Amino acid sequence: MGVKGLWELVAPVGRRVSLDTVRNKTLAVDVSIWLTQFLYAMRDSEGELIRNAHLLGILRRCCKLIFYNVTPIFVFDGATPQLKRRTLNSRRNQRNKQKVKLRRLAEQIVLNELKLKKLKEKTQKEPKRTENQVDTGVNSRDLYNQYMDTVLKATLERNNAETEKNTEQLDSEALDDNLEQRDSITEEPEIEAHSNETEEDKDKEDNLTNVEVSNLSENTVSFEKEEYEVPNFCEMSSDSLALLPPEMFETVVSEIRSRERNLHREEFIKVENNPADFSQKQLEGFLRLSLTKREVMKARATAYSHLGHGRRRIASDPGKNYTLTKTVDSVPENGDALEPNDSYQFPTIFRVESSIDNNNNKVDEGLEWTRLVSNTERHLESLEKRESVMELGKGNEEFYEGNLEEEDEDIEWIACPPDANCNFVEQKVYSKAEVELDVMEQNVRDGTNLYRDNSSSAELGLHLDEDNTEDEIMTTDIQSAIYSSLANEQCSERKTETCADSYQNYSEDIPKVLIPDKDDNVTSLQVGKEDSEDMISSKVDEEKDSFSYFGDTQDTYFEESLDEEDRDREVSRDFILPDEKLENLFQEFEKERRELRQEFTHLKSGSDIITDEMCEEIRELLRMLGIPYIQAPMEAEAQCAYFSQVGLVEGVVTEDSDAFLFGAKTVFRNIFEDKKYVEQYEMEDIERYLGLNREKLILLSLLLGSDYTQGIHGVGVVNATEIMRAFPSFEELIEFAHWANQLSLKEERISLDSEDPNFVKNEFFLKHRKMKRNWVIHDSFPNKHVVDAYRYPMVDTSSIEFHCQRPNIAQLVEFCRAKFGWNSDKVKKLVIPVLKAYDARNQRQTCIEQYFHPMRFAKIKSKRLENAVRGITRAVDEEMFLSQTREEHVDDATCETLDAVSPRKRKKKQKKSTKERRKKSSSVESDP
Amino acid sequence: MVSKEEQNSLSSFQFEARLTQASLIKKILEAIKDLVTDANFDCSPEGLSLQAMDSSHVSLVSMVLHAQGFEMFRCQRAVSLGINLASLTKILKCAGNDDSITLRADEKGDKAEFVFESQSQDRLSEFELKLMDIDSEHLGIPDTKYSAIVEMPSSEYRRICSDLGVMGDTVRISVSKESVKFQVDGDIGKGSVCLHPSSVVDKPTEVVKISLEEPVDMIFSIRYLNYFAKAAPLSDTVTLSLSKDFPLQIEFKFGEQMGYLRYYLAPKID
Repeated sequence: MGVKGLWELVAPVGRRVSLDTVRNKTLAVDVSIWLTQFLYAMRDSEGELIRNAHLLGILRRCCKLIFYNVTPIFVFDGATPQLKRRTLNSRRNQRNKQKVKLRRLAEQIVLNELKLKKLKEKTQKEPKRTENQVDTGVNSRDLYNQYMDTVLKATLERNNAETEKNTEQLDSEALDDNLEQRDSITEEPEIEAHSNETEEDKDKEDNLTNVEVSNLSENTVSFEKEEYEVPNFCEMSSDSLALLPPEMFETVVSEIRSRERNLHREEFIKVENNPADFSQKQLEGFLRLSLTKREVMKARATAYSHLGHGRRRIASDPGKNYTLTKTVDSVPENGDALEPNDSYQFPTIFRVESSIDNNNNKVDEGLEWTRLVSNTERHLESLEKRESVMELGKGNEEFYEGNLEEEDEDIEWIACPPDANCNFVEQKVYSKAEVELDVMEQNVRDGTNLYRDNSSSAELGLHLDEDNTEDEIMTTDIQSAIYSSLANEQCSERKTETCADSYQNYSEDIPKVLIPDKDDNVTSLQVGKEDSEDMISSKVDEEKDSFSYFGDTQDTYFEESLDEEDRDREVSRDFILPDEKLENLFQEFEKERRELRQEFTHLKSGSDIITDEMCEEIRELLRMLGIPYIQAPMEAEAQCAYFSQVGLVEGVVTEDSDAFLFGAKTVFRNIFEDKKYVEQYEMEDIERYLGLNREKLILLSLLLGSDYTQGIHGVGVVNATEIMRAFPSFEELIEFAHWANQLSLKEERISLDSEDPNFVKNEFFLKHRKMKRNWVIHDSFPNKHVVDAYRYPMVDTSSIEFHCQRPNIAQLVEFCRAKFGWNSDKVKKLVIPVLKAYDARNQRQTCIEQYFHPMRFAKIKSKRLENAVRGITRAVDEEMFLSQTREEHVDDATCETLDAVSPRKRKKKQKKSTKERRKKSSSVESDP
Repeated sequence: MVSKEEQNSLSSFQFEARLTQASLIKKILEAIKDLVTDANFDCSPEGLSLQAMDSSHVSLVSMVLHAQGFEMFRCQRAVSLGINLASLTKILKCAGNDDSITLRADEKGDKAEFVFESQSQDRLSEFELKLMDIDSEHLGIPDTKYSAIVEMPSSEYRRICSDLGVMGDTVRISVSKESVKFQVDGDIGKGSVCLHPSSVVDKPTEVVKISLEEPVDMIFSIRYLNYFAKAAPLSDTVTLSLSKDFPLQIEFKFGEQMGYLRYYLAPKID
């Protein structure tokens, strides 16, 4: 903002004043800077923007101004000048970069949090271990216990029936007998599913946050930390749901969704090998789903009705609205589904095998192959099912198309769930890696889980019944994520890699398994992406393609994973870490978490932009407060400066040093920063003591760079001031540019003769001839357009005086209630003192600083700058120079007067009102 | 005795000063501690001075104790002693009114020493006060030719302020050739006190004098005038100097050659 380094340059002539100095003044205020500040600063601990931060900020500041009897005139930015576009573009680019960074950070945070969680589980687990066997079997058993605990906790909150069941399982587990284990292990998929549930809930939430963050939608709620105990959906009517605040509503809905999906999945497990039952279940599921959907829709409509018919603006993007009509893919839970099912055969066999694996701790390729065979058998079976399911798919088409429409409207938004799915595949995989089941087993289970997941979510899974391997599911997921950019894929890949890094000990193999085939999928899917016009059909095709594709690659893939398995075994032996190490890891992650959070919060604060809507709301608020405002034709800064120039206001409140260039006479800075003093800058002072008038400041901006021009790279305030001294006009700057651009290979003979009219220039040439090599001067320098833009800005030249009106308290109460949810007491507490101050305007207390002027607070430190300033201006105020003061201290240390103790008062330029009195400015101390 | 002490201090103290009467310092402190919480005591070869604004920057206190007013005063180099006035008050409570008081500060400037010695020289108490870094600004107070200067007994001033203080919070001071008038218009009613210049000069301390360039009519906050009234014990007379659109100056002189305590109060504006 403003001219680079200009504040630094003018600081020595600035004065520290108290807020009382601005009492009873009329000040022009550039609102856009305020808004930027609010968006940047008004954050909660999570880095989220406070709701209606802009309004709250404006209200507070206005109250302060009115309280100090200031008549503020708010100036809004108008059109953007052509010259400023470049700056704006670069700002936008930076913002985009920040967005990417943010997303990356968010991912890291999620990852970190998962790690932490795992680690916690591990550390808790440690004492429980009774045998010190370094044995995967034992290890995995321990972890099962761990999971059981988690599941137990989770289910306790949710479903009593489930709890009972799990307790039984826990008991049987606790017997710790190999034989019994074998029995109980047959039920482990169930447990596994539960643990996945908890895992997934977490993932889901995290992912939601993740995606929302990257979408920069407003009012995002951090789901990560909030734990709601959500009652069953059937117990909740849509009405009661609607009563929830929108943020919580979303959380609850997503909670319901994930829970019901899990329940649904369980249902499917039971009927997995029975095609007829399976499709029956699916039909039921769909019916229930649509019922739920309707309920949720109703609730959502009610919940959002006050926000304008469910239509909400995306804060960061003025051109876009999103309408959240897509509902959760959920099915009401069914108590019957929890009954054990006889037809659940395959997993049993499978389980026996795997438990053998676990117990004997060896790789049996034969068994693996058996498993493969059984997998293939299942494929064949499910192929038969497929047709019936396809019918169901047709039935779902309506719903599906509905989805598509939304997707057209706002692709990013819809992309969330698939994206999320995609992510948990990996997370699930690696979380299971910790459980140290062999990779195959996990993957297959993942596959089935997700497969159920998908089918219950009635999205694309319906087409995929035949796919029992995890690859297929991955494919579907990625297919469903097709709308999201490839970048997302890369993100998740990267994520997996990060996992790998931090979990080198045991999960090395996973990325290797995942990444290659994902890459394949990505490429195969890119084709589909291009066919986005005909999405449904292309998808069906793709599935077929990918199915056959995987049919081909399956063999090789499994071979690969067998190798992996071997390694997994080895790795898992090393896995049991000493307590210390765990503790260290834990602390490391904690630290990382804090750092990430901090960075996230910091980054996030720079990522929002001001919308027209915000401005409109602010205008409404200003009307209520009785504060005049104006829309500038172009730059608000220029308009403020114009008011100051023609005397309509007594000062400009800004953080933007451009104001001087536009001709402002008095500028106030830091008015609202409690920690700092208000700084007051007078153009007159700058001219008198720094020798820089408006014209020179404009030229200076050409050198230093500003919103309108890039400036010369390598030239800071010191050089710029020196240049200004030697080349004080635009024409001479051309000369300077010419000199700086020429390659002076031959040493110019410059004779320094102080009589020479060109002495200053020659001296400059001599001193800077080496320096100029580092300067990067743009071709357009010096740009006449920039000078003109500052010299003749487009402003509203009406000269009507501004007046404040009494704030309208009734309207304010109503406004604050609507925007901040304040009750009238709170509003009155804020506004009544302000009103009193307003009413007491006719008799006000002045402050002492209006009469006695404070000392300067900064001194020119650079010797070179000092010389340049001395050369430029004749009236030098010695007080400004640091070197001067130093010398004095050395010279007459012994005969120091009272005056020297206190910083010497300045012989300030006289103000009109107190002109005569000021002339003999001397301090009290020196009196007698 | 004195010379020995001086020799000692020469080696270790940057600043050393002794007053025969601790009461003066005590009274000064009483007069400013309600207005200012922390202040820098600036010691220089000329003397000891203090300048501070109240927290709302409406009034300014300026105190000067000239070097010649001290029994002993030595300052090699200017030092600034940042002192919390409440803490200083606590320490000064330990000094008897007739005790002599010695103030010392060393090179580092992180603490100040106070030595109280009873008149009979049989009791010696020493205190050390931690100093603080006070970021205060010095205001340049311009020399002004005031339009109206009123001299009156400080007890009278104190009485007027406390009497009118109960009526309202703003006092209008109008000075004409014949009189000085203090008027209050408050919530419960009105009140005014009018003083005429004394015709007979019996006791010089009870005289009211008005010297006028042009009539003045200004309003001020009574609250602050009441704060200033706490300085009444310092001096028998008080001088009020007024000019239009300029702060009121209220001066209490410590006696010939000793120094003064001045208050400045920014006016209220209609």
